[in-house]
Amino acid sequence: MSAELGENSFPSTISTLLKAGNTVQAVTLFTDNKNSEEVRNNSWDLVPIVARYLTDECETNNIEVFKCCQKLITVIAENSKPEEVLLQFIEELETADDDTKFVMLLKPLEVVLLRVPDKRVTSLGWCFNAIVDYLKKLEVPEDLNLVGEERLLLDSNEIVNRIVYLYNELLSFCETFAKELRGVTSSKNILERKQVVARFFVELLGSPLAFLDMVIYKNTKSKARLLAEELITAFCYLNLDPYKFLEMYNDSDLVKPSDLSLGVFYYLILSEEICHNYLPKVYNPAYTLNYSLTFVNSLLSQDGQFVVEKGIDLAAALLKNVDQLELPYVLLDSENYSKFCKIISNVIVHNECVELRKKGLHALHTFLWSFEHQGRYLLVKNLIRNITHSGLKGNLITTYKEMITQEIKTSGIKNLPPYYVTHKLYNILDEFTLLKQKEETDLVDESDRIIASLNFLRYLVLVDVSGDIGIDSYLETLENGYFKFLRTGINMSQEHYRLRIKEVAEEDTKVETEDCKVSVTVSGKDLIEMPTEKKIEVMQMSLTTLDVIDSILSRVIECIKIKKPNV
Amino acid sequence: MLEPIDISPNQDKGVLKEILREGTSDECPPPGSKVRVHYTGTLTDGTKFDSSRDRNEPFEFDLGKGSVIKAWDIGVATMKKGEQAMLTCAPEYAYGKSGSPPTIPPDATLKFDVEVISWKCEDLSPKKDGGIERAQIKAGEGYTYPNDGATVEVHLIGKYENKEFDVRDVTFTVGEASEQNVISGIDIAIEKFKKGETSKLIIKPQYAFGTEGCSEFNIPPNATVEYTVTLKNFERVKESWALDTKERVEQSKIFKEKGTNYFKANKFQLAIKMYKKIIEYLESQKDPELDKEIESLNLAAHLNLSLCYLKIDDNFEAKASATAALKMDPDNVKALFRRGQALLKLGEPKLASEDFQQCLKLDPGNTAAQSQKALCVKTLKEQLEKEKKVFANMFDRFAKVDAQREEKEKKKEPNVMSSVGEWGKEDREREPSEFEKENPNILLLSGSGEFKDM
Repeated sequence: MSAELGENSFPSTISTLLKAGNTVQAVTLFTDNKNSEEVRNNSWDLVPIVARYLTDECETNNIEVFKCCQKLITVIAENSKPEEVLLQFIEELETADDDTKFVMLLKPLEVVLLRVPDKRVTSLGWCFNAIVDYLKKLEVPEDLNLVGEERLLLDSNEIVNRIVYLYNELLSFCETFAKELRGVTSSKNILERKQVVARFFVELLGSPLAFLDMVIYKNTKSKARLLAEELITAFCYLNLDPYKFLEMYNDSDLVKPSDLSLGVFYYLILSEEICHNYLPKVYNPAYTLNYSLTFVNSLLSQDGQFVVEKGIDLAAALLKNVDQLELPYVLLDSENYSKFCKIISNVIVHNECVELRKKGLHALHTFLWSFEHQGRYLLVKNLIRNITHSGLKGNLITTYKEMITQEIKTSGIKNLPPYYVTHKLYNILDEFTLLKQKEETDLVDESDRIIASLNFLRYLVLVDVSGDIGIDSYLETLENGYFKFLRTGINMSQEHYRLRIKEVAEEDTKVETEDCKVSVTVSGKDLIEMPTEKKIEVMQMSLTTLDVIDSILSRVIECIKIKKPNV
Repeated sequence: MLEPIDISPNQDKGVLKEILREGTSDECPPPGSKVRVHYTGTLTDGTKFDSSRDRNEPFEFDLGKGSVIKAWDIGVATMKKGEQAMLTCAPEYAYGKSGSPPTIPPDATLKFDVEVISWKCEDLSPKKDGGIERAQIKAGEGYTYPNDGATVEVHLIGKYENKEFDVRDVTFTVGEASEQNVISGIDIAIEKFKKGETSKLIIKPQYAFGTEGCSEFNIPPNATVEYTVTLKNFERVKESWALDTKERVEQSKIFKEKGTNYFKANKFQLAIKMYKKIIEYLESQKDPELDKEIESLNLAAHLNLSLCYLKIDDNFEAKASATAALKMDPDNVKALFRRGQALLKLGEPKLASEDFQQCLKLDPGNTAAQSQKALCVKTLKEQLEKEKKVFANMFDRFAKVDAQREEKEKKKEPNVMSSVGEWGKEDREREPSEFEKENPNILLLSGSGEFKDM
């Protein structure tokens, strides 16, 4: 309370009354017509005095005062100068650290906002931002790796319930504005007002709601899903084109939805098909993909199973409408594409949830196939360079092989695009067959990629009878590099493992008496903590892998020999 | 009513147009303009799948930017204001093999009843005051635009009252166009151009020559001018995945040119940055058709780097760059010469002289190398002389230094006589040392460890 207030001023009288718990007197003073001017002019001081008691603590310990203040704040909202009291409310919202206070302020805020005259786009924006800021501070549930039916358990999680409770309270607040705007048609700034409200709805879909599960499981909708549906419906009520958020760079900064919120927004509309009929069906799928990819990337790079899942689903939904070979390679100019590849590769390799890893891989495949040949070539070439996981590398090599196979089927081997033959092919084969440490490369670790590349080479040797692909001219490079290193590497590794197996087995008999241990590493992982049998088993598996590589390598060389006996 | 006509560019019956109601204007919306339309979309079996009329809200989109299906970009561009037409779109010009589930099935031919309500020319001015209007003549390629700070290569044709006043090719940095005497309107607009785009810009005075006009171009005050601008190329600030060997070589050429310009302007640090980019861009790039070019660019980059480093007196780097160049071309006179210079400055006249010697062997008439070599010999001599001097006086100096040191040591030793307790307090020069305190008997100290007064 300001110190300048006199002892007998209206606000300080109210303050004293509330402190003393004299609620009847306080209400009487407030509602007395004689004091209406006081209420009207003193909101600046009155709001903090009253709002002080709108807390959880007061509700439990001092219900009388709490209820009284609830009444008083409504009177203030209805009677004070709206512009002034609005600022005071915003301040209270910004400093609120109590859900009760937040909820108690919503209704009066709504009342005031409706009283602010038409030109209130800015005031709306400020209020919305204050609300969103409060929500963003909420805790989100930790990742529990729930699958299937387990996911519904989240609805009994305390953190989830708190979020759901607050959003539920907010919904009627949102509806008020959606309905109000639908009625107005003649106001000058109607479009601006609609936009601000629409953006607010979209922004509400971001943190913390984004982190909750919104998938329908066996016809059961989670609470978060229901809330999200309500928000989307409220948005559609405004009758705006949802795609207008794709290019926003020229718009004002007042309530700007984050990439995360927009990601969830498009996920709900495009993947979950909520209010799908509001989408204008004239947009070009390549355009929507191009501009939504930032949002996909934002979803994918969050922590949390459900957000990442939304990202993958949105990507899949966007790609669903894109034909194979439709996307031009120049799109790759934008770093969103390379970023997408990197992030989704990361999900495919590292995500804890098998389901997501599989879905991610599927999305990446669809993505690669959507590009025209040059784009496919550039993507695979760059991806191979950027990822470290041998399994994914192998997968990409196989995909490239499938692309060639399909092209041979559709266009014929004589008419293959330049990206599958001679120099471009050699370039990409250089990447596929790169052994960074030559013969000392850890072959077991890289086995997936090596096996895939050898299979690819064998395929090329067999299929290129006419010489149109030009693999024959590359064979020398292979002989002097890749094949040579592999041969030496296989021999070295085999010897290494055989020796170690022997050592470990011997050590096992001695181990009772001696403390000396042999350290064995497979693919950089130390085997020391394993029991001897397990160690031997792992090493035997490594030997088997080496055998597989060895046999495919021999097969490739055999194929070459048959084709070109004098090489 | 007119028969449907094929308006697809390839005349493959991809987009058929049937005018339902004639328009009122003479012109059609130019590419890039914001067009407002009402439409109803139906499948060939008559099923309505979407309608802006049902939403009671006209649909607005940017024409010719690929944001809508191809049939629309083609079809709407042929329509006049107020015109209503039926566009029949083959799947290749609509949603293709994939369709757009759940409403549009795969391989669907779509019919759109479109009515053009109005359009606005594209306004590129930051304040949306209509100060810079664009009408596209030729669309660009790709999806990226030059950003602030990017270097752009443009072709300009400035017109005022139908007279060309400014025709030129110019390269400038976005945000600093004024340095090249290019008006701010173009500087602002170019950020919305794609590579290869040609557009007509109508620019109001506040974004052109202002209230003062321009005497050089003979433009009066407060004149609205017209420019036809082509964005020929721009530097991609970040490395992009779309670049294959050929584009990388092209980009490197731009870097080289920029480097040379910076060098000429004595901006060596910037020049170094450009040359380094060439090396970075061309690292491990191979292409039989381009290999020669790649090598020559790489060589030029190393050579120029070496020169730049010499200029900023970073002789170590200069030497390294020249050596890298020599690795590619062992008989490169320039590289040898520059490494020689670097070595000379690094105080290695002997090695430097070898490089200059090699220069002269390859190019006997090279006078610069000759004079540098002479300089080497001179430096070498000087060095020797200097060394001689140093060594000649060595013993004398050492003796002197030793003497000085002894003197100093002496000074440090306390004057014993000044401290023994023969004198009164005022005569003493120091407090007793620890040793003296511990052995008071030797030095006549008092019981408390103080000197005893006599």
